[in-house]
Amino acid sequence: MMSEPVTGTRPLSFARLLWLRTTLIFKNPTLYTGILGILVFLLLYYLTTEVWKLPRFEKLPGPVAVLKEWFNPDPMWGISLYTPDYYQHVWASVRRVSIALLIATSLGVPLGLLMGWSKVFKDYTFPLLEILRPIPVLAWVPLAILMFSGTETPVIFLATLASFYVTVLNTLLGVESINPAYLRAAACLGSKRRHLFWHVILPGALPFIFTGLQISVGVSWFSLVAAEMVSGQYGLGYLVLNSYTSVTYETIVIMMITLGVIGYASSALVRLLGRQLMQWRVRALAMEKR
Amino acid sequence: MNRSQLGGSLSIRHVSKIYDPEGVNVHALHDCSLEIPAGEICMVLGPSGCGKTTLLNAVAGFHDISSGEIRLDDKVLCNDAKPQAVQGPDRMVVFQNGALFPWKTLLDNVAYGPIVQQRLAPKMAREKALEMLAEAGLADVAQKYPGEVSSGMARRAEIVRALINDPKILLLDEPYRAMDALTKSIMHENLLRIYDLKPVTIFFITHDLEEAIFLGQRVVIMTTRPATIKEIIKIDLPYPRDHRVLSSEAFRLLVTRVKASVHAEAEKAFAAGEKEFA
Amino acid sequence: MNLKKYLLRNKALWRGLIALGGILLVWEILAHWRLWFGYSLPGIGLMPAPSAVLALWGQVLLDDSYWVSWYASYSRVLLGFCLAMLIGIPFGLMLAVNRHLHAFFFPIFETLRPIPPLAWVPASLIFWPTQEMSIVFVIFLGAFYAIVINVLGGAKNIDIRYLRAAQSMGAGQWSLFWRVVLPATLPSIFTGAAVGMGITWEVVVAAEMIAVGGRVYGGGLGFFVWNSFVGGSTEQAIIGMLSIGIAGYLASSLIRYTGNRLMPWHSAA
Repeated sequence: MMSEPVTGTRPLSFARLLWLRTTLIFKNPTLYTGILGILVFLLLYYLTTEVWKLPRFEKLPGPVAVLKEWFNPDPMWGISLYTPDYYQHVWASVRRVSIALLIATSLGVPLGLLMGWSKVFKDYTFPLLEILRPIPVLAWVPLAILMFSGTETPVIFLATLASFYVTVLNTLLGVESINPAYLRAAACLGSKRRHLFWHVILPGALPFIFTGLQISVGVSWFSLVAAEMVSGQYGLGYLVLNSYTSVTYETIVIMMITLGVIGYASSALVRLLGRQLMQWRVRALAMEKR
Repeated sequence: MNRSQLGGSLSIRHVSKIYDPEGVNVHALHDCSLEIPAGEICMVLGPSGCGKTTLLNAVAGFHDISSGEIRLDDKVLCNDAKPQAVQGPDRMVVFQNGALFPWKTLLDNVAYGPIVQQRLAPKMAREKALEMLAEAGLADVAQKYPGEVSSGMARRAEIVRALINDPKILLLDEPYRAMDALTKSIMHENLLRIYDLKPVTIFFITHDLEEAIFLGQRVVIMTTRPATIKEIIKIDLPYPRDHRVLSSEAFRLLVTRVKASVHAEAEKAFAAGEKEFA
Repeated sequence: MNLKKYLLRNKALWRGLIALGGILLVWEILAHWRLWFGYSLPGIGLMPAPSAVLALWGQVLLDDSYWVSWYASYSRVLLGFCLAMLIGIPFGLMLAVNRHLHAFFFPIFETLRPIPPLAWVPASLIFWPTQEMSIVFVIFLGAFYAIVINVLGGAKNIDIRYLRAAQSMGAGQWSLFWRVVLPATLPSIFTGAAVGMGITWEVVVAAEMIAVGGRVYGGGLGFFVWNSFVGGSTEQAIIGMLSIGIAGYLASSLIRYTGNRLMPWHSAA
C-alpha cells in the first residue's frame, strides 16, 4: 500500500534524510516516556548513592560528584573535560580501534568474499577459522605479548582479532545469502567472472557486510577495553582500571560514560555510512512502510 | 515479417534428467522430446513440481542432463558428450520471482547486458536502454530501484532487460506467478504486444491453464514426476488476441480440452504431496 | 562400510584436514627454526612447538589444579549465564509484549549498552562484597544484553498472522502468550543464548586475568593462562587457551543441542 507517491527521481540528499529522521523522532510520544525512564533511573542512582546512602551504594560515586568532577577545570583526580590527559586517553583508544577495524575489514571482507565465492577455498580455510574462534580473544593476551613487541601492537592485535572473526563470518554469510537467481541472471546476460564479482557478489553481500561491521565495532571496543585493562599504558580501559586501583572513583564513571558515548557514536557512524552506500535498500524499505 | 530470421528454433530430443540428492534418485524428466520452430510461442503446462522448470534449466544451462540432446538452430547446446549447456544471452531467462538486481536502477539493469558483453559502449547502452524502457512505458521509473516499483513494472523491465540482448529464445519461468489476476491479464496483453514488435521464440512455463491458452500457439502438457510430454494441443485462435478472447466460444472449448488432459495430472501431483521447488 | 564411503565422498572433510595438518606442520617447523638455523623468526617463530604443547598437555591432565581451574571457570560461567537467562528472557518478553514498559525501559537499556561489560569491573568490585560476586555480575551483564536484544528482536518479528489466527480460535491473553509468543520467540532465545554464551566466556577469561590474581586454586582457566605465562611456561599458557576454547565449544554445543531438541520444527524445515 503506497500512501504517497515518491515524486522526485533524484536520490534523497544526505541532509534531507537526516532532517526527515530527526523530525520523526520528535513527533513520537514514546520519546517522552523514554526520557521519563532515564530520569527515573538517574534519580534512583542519585538517591541511593548520595542521599539515602544505602549500605553498598554509598561507596559508589554519585552522579553529582561525577558531574562536578567531569566539568571541573581543575579536577581532584586529574581527569575532566578540561584536562588534556582526558583527550589523550580517548584519542589513544580511538586510534587503536580505528587501526584494528581498518586491518580487520581489509583482511576480513576479501577473505569472506573469497570463501563464499569458492567452495574449495572455503573447505580449506573454514575449519581453521572454526577451531580458533571459540578461543576467547583475551586468552590470546600472553601470545600477543610474546609475538609482538611493544605495548601498542598486542592491544591492537587483540581488537583486530575479535573484529576479524565477526567480519569474515558476516561477509561469508552475506555471499551465501545471495539469491542464486541473481547469479544465474547475470550469467545469462553474458557476465564474466569479474563482472559477477563486482556487480553481483559484492553489492549482494553488502547489507550483511555492514551488519557485520556494526557488530565488529562493538566487539572491537569490547576487546580493546579488556586488552587495555590487562596490559596497556594509555587508553580508556587502562584508565578505568587505574582509577579503581588508585581509588579515584569518580573517574571510573566518567570513563564509563565516555566509553558509552564513543561506542554509540562509532556504531551510528557505521550505520549512517551503510545507509549512504545502500540507497536502494533505504528506498525499498521506505516503500514497504513497515 | 520473416519470422525465422528473428527467433531460434529449439530441438529437444529424448532428454532425461535424474537428480541424485543423497543417493536417492529423483527421476525428474523422462524421455522428453519437443520441436519448437523459430518464432513460436510455446507454452509448457503442468502441475507444480513436475519438472517443467528442470527442462527450462537444462535449456538455459543451469543444470546438466542425464541423457538426450538439445539443439538451438541445429547447433548442439548439450548432449551426452557435453551434458551441460553454456549459459548465454542467446537464451535469456525471466525468473519466477524476478531477478532484477536490487542494487541497480532499472536503467542500469537493462543496460547491464550489452555493456558486459561489450557489444555497446556504456553511454550508448544506456541510451538504448532508456529508449526500450520508454517503448515499454517505463520511462518515468527508469531511474528507480526495483524495490521502489510495482511488480508489474519490475517484470516488464526484466523482459526489456532480456530483449535488449537480441536473444534467439526467451525462456520464461512462470514470471507472472506471484501477481494478482488483474495485473496478470494486463501483463499478458503487454507480452503479446512486445511479441508483435519482435517475434522472438518464446518458451513459457506455467501452471495457469488460461494463461497458457491465451498466450500460446501450442500448449505442451507435461505429466507429473517423472515428467514426460503427455500431449501437445494446437491453439488456433488468431492474433492479435486481447482480453475479450477469454470469453469467446473457441477459447472455452480449448479450455475444456486442455483441462481434461491436465486435470488428471494435477490430481496425481496433489496426492503425491508435491512441493514446488521454488 | 558406511563411514568409509562417507569419508571417501566427503572432499570437504579431507581438504579441512589437509589444511589443518599443513598449518600444524608449518608451525612445528617454524618453532624449531632457532634450533636448526641459529636465529629465531619474529612473531610466530617465538611460539613453542605443537609437539611440546601436546607433550605437556598429557602431564597437565593429571594435575589437580588444572581441573580445579575448569571447575572454577565453569561455575562462574554457569552462574552468570543462568542469571542472565532467568532475568533476561522474562525482561525481554515483557518489553516486547507491553508497549509502555518498552518505551520506559528500553532507552535506559540502550544507553547503557555501549559501555563494554568489562568497563563495569571496577564499579562492580566497589559495589559487591566479594570478588566472586563482582565477576559474576559482569558476566551477567554481558550475557544479559545479548539475550534481551535477541528476545526483543524475535518477539517483535512474530508474524502477526499467527497471533490473529490464535485469537480467531478463541485464545485468551495467557494462552496467546504461552502457545504463540513463546514458541515463536524460541529460536531467537536460543540465538541470544548462543551469543550470550560466547560473550560470557570472553568476559570470564578477561575478568579472571584482571581481577582474580593471587590465588592459584580456584583462579579459573583465564587465570591459569595468565599465571602460566607469567611463570615462564608458554606451552602451558597455550594449553590453557585451547582448553578454554574446548570448554566454550562444549557449552555452546550444549545450547545448540538443547535448542534442536526443543524446536523440532526448526531443523526439519
